[in-house]
Amino acid sequence: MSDAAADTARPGAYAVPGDLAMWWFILAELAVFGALLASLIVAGALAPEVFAAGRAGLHPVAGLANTVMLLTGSYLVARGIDAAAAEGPRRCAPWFLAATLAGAGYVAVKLGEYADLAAAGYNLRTSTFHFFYFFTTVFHLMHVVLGMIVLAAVARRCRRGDYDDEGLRAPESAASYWHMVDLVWLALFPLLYVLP
Amino acid sequence: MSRAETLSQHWIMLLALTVAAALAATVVPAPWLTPAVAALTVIKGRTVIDSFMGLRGASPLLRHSVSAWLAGVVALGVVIRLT
Repeated sequence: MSDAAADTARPGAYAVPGDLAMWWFILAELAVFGALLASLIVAGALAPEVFAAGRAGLHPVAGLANTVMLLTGSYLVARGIDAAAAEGPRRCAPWFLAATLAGAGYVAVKLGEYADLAAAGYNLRTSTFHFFYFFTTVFHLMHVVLGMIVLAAVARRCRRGDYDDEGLRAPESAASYWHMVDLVWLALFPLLYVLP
Repeated sequence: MSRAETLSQHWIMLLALTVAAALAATVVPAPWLTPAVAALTVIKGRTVIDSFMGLRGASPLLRHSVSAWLAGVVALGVVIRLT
């Protein structure tokens, strides 16, 4: 928790990383993704052959690479918050920019996957599996891109010293959002790439 | 151990578990694949929630809410696949 947040916390109250408003937003996002994942699970149970055939056309290595990049991004963001907590908000800038690069790697791999699938003739209307695959991953990809924009913007402001008097509330809020995007992918990855 | 070292250890563990989950489909017998992958997903998710998100010492309501989301999604997947 940032110093600013600690200063305003009630005695005996628990810490919340970042802004409470950001956590309401994150919980709302998790609810939306939860509904989407539940739909994916139920659809997979209703049409197992269609889903098995659809999964066979995916690249497991691409899914693995995507997971590695998002986990690495989350690690870099957590290191940034750790560095900022020890030496001030300016210290998180290079870590956040490195995490943005990891996010860019994720986007590049995902776009490559989409291009390969499109070249093979797959689209949203090919099958129930492909509808869920494209819908959930594009929706998630939009959140990755938003997370990259937020991390880059916060890194820029950290480097300029805009948060020097505000503690870590803004960097922690951006970090929490990025970790949420990572958490959703951890649930999505086995459903799309691993389980038969 | 410093927090930076702890984060690095958790990151390496998460990468190893990710590779393990990806390889599980070729190694683990079919009846055990879903529970095995579900367990790996829960371990990875809890590590992100507690270590990277920093919710270990945060409000229990917040921590349990995020953990419940992960448990709910994984449990739904396991129950529907095994029934």
